[in-house]
Amino acid sequence: MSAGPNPIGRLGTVARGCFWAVFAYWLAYALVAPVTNVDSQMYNLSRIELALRGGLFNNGLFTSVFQLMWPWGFDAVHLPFIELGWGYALPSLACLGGTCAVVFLMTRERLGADAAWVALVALLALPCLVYQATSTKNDIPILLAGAVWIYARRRWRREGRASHVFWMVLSIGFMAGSKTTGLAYGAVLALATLWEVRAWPVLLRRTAAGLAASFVLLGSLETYVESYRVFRHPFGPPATVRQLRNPDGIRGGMANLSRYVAGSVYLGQTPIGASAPNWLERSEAALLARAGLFNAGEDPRFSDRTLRFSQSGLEELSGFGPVGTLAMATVLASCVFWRPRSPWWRLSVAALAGLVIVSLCVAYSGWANRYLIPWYALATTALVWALWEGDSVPRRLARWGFLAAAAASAAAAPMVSFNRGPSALVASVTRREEMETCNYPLIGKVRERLRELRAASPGSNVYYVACDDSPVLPILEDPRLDAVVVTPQEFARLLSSGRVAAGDLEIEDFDTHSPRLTRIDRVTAPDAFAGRGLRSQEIFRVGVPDPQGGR
Amino acid sequence: MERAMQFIGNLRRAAVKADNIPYTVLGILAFVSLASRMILILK
Repeated sequence: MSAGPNPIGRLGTVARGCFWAVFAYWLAYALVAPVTNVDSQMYNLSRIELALRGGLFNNGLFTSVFQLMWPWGFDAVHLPFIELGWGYALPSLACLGGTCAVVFLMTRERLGADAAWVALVALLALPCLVYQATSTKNDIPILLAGAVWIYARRRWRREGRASHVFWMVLSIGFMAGSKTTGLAYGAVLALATLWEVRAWPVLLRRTAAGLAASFVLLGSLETYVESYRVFRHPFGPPATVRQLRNPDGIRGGMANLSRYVAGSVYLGQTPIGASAPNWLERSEAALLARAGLFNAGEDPRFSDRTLRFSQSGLEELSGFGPVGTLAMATVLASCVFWRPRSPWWRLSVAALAGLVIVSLCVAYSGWANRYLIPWYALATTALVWALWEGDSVPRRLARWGFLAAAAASAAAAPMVSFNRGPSALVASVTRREEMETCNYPLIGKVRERLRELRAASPGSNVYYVACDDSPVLPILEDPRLDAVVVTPQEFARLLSSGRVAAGDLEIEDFDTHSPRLTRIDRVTAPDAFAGRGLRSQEIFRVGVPDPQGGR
Repeated sequence: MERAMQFIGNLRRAAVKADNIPYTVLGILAFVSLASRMILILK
């Protein structure tokens, strides 16, 4: 990005250097990192691999409800990278890059180049945001689509060209197709888009038609159709959908918002896995209990008894760092100060509205921070805009101080992560398989052991009996195993039909209780999510049919 | 043919203009998404 017509000062020059240095690091990481995210190994990308073999509709190879029930618009973007074997995180980093471009252009237009470059460094200082931007999850496209919609709306208002309405419409379709929550945000933005063009009847009709076309082409309509066919519900099995929604209405929304606000306070890094609650977590749980909101709004798998605000460096369990704390303070300030004419205040209120929507709609869970990245990005931009409102010596000093804090946080984000630091960057090239399974080492060890066993008995097949939460991708994509990943029902059918032969190997995440299986090995590995915990998996050999036999 | 080449040239120039970078990123991702989904659906 060029500096443009606004002259860049010393602050902007330093911020520009910081931004490009950190962004270049993340670009290098995105180019070489394998798929490390467990969700992607379970469903986001594993379903792309399975759809490559059997298509989407009536595909009996799918092993998890999550491979069917979520929209896959952004997951599908990874197809060329799955074929290539490299650059899996580039689509997510492109989303961050596009968002940075929007923030840069809109901030420079209002406040000059210095503020624009500082805003970009501030975005890179949000750990959860940069971890998602170097992952294969589908949360960050919502941020990009929302940012492009805001940018296109700004240009439509300024230039009056209908081409900008086209981009507003396209961003809504892309948002709706990327994630189920994007469908809700997209519906709101669709109404806002129609409102924008209401004075031009011809354009209004074309926009409405464009929105319909955009949803059909980009909105992942086919996954909703297939989900309805399989589960009789377009969003998936109703019980699973209920688990993910805030079950307690406004009470749950209030409790969730309170948790998000308390969780924004950065108290340093926390270990991965079980640890004693700190004073903030205990205080928040006590506050919720006193307010009669204990456990309100939570995913049933979580409880305020074990409430943790993780800052672990793991992409699923990281918050937004010290800059995130300041961004949340800016949002809270907008509740106290009434500044409707100030752009920072309007951005803050929009971020608050987003946080309220997430709190009301989505159940609270330990990995809910990624749902908040659009609102933290907005709040962080609001914070920078607030720093540039007015000019005085203390304010200029505050800008330098903020840049120092943001640059330090941006540089620290990879360092405090166990799988994104410089050693992980090197490991992505030199020890690629180990790096791929660093979040779930057990599957890597099982894969190694299966290779040895298969090499010792050539001709044997490998079966993986998977459940909804099985990280199947590392096994699926290994040509040396050529494994068949199946549901328990499908495995039982293959066994009874004689397709599974004596000598074949089997691992299972769902106990099939088949008497034809004999345990031949047990593999144990550390559980990355539990800190010091261990996980284990048994490997079975298929025997000849024997009605008297057993395990 | 000449008009098509001219159109592609104009598109390329517009795509790399700083003001249009957000559109270019979204456009590429949307196009790849659509094409990939078509491939996967038709498998």
